[in-house]
Amino acid sequence: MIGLHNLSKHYDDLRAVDDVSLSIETGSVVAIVGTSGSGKSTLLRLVNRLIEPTAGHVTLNGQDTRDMPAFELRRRIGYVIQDHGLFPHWTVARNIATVPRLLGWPKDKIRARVEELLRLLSLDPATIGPRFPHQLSGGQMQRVGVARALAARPELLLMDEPFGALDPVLRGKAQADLRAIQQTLGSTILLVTHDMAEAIRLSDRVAVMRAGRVEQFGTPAEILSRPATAFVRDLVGEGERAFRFLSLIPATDLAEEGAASGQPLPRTATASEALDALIWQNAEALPLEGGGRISRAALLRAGHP
Amino acid sequence: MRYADRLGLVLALPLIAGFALPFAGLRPNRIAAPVAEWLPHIFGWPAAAGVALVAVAALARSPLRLPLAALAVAGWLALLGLGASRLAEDAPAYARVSPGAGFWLGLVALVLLLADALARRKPAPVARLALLAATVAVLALVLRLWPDVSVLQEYAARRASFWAEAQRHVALALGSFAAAVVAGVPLGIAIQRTPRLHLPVMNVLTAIQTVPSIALFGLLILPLGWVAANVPGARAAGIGGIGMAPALVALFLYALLPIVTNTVAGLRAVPPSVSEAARGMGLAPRQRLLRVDMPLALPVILTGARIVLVQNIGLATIGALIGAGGFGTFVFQGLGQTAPDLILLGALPTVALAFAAQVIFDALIDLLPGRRP
Amino acid sequence: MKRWPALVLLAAMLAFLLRPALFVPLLAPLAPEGAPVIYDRAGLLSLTLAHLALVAGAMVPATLVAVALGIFVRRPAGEAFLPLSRVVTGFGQTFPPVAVLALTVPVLGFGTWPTLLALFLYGLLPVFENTLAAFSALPPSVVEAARGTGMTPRQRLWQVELPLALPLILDGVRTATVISLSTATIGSVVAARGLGEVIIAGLTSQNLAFVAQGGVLVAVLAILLAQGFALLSARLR
Repeated sequence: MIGLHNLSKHYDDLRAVDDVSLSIETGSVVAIVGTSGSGKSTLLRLVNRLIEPTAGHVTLNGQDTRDMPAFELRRRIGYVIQDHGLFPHWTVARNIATVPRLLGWPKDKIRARVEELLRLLSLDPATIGPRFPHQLSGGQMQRVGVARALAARPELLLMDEPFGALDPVLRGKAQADLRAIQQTLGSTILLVTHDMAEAIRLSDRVAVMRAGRVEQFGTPAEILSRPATAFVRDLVGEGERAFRFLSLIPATDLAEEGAASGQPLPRTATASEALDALIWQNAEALPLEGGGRISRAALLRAGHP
Repeated sequence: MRYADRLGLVLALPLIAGFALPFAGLRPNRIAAPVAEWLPHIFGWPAAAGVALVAVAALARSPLRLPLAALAVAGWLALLGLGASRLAEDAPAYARVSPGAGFWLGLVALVLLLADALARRKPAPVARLALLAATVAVLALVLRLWPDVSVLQEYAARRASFWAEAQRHVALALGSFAAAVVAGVPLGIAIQRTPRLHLPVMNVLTAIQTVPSIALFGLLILPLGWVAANVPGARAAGIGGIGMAPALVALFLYALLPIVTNTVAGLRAVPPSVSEAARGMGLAPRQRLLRVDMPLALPVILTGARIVLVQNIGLATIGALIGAGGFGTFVFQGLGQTAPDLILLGALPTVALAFAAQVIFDALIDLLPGRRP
Repeated sequence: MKRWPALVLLAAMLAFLLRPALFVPLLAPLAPEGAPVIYDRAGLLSLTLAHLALVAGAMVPATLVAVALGIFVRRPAGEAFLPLSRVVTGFGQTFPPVAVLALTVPVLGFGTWPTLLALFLYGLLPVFENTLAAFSALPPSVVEAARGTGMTPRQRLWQVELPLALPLILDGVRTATVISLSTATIGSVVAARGLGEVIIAGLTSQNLAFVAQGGVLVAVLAILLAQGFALLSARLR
């Protein structure tokens, strides 16, 4: 569990971060959402002490992070940034090995770990490993950035607009991959984004920031259904609220007994995907893979809080 | 650290050395070894303490650093003049007072302090020009206090030739500079438009730069000597194998590379969208060049011109080796006679001239319309 | 980049240094009647080596000092000196090499030392300037990533910042070396051993063959060294 306790960062008169407290359960994803200048990136960088707070402190699994040298803390926390920040003079493999090398892991352990991570991120170790960053596509660079951050099995992963440099098609795929990896590894992630939809899709809890303060901290469903302030409501937006809400619900939650004709829905589908398929196939109900069905009425019932 | 900053602390070292090392040297004649004279010894302890106080005040962290440092530099220069006069009073007629290591170190410390204080204020271009004018005025006043300092005695002994060489130096530097601009800018435009020419021209110009200046000056003696002997009227026009002509040609050749490089770079840096827009609005190629491309490339071209002018002012000293005159005459005479004061008489005006050229040109570049300081 | 012109140049230079007699017909028209065509008061090879040694003796320490200073003024401890160091590099160029050389003579006397000092001082500026530029040009995301992965300041410097800055720093060293090869010839005015000796002897005895062989040798050295540096920095990029 990671705890942010009354964190503040003031620059002269500007309160970039103002008395923020949050806690992040181990194995969960928390997204910080805000407009530019809201202090969300500053808050993230207070956690790994790239910026030192004016007041307050962070605890990492019960340990006060002020009690260790900043560079040691950072080796325990993965860090992914928008422009990847891959070291251009090192190969992909050497980039991923950065933190394990700093920690003095034995060579074969590093090699095995690099290979494991490249596979996990669906990159071929034999072909991609020896390449240099400028020989990669944008999507590959992004994945290498994630692999580097995960290399030393960090206790926390910080991500600052990790998909910001990707085009919309790649972004959707990268988001799905990240969620899958997070579920496999059980990582704890603190993620910064300006995109509410991304936050809702990826995270277990969302913190909405404005002018250095957290306006609301809650589950995506709470943010969608009960925005605490006008600002949060604006950020969520009026359009497509029902669809976003449905996207939070697994289709299996709405399954009922019975059969239906048509193309079966995969068990991993969300309620929003189920509704999309129903409308597209003009069906009253569709079968679910492995038994049961989803009806239009159930979906409409579930589409509001 | 409340009363001092790191810079002040570091510069305190040469300044202390300025007090601890001989401030001036008294020599029985022009090339004899100097007898060291310390600041307190020349002016007495109370006066020396007063000087130290001003210097310390300038070193301290305060909003007054700029005026204090300016005052300290002027005062330090004045002290040398006054001290020289004092020492000269009781010395034989041929005695010379020259600046000592202490004077130089102290001067360097105070000038650096002044430069730092000025740099932090980031003065606007007009203010920089005004500061340059003020510096010249103050120097002219301070030098009146220097009749007994050896450098000025060297000057007094050859006042007429000093100004003649100064004229030749400026003529060499400015003449070759003007010729290089007139020839280099069109050449730059030409090779920018004809990429085929780019590499060969640049290779030739770069190769010229690698020939050491004294050799290039020397090698031009031959072709120009031939011209003087074979082209009617050339000798009457002042062209000859020795003298100003080969120096002018050599400086011109050295100057071409920076001008051409910067013209090409300036034109290349014009955003394609702007060029495209000019074309789209129906500007003819010549109009585009004169009204759009050149004005936008001007700051870069002028930067090249500045580099050339400063470089030529310095290189013109070499001309003295082939009889072209200029301040180099004094430098090489001084080296030949082991007379440091004579070296200074040639070197200091050269440095001052190059410095002034840089300040003026930089200010002009910043004054161009559309430039933000 | 084609390599053969440089190789031809190198071969021609070596041939000239080892068998100068082969080049007599080429240079003879430049020498006055009856005067020697090839400089004979010292071996051209040994003068060339002395010239190179002079330049290396100045440029190696100048590079080390300038890079160290460039790194220093970008650290918190050295920040106070950054504005001043920019002014000094800007205006340092206004000191002509001859003036620097001439002014060191009163302090150090004649010979190799004043030339070495002048070349050292003159070599500092381009290297320092390029070091500053190289460090400012580092991609911010890479610097941020180096901090974020938990490198100590020293590890950041040696593993990331310096390797990435190296090509640009090398460009500065190349510029400084070429200038310094040419400036070193002026050193012969104050009796430093080097190829300037040949040129000066030519100027004083009106023997342009000497001027040409000295000048062209220095130029060829400069071109070859510049090519070498370009090759090295291309390999590092």
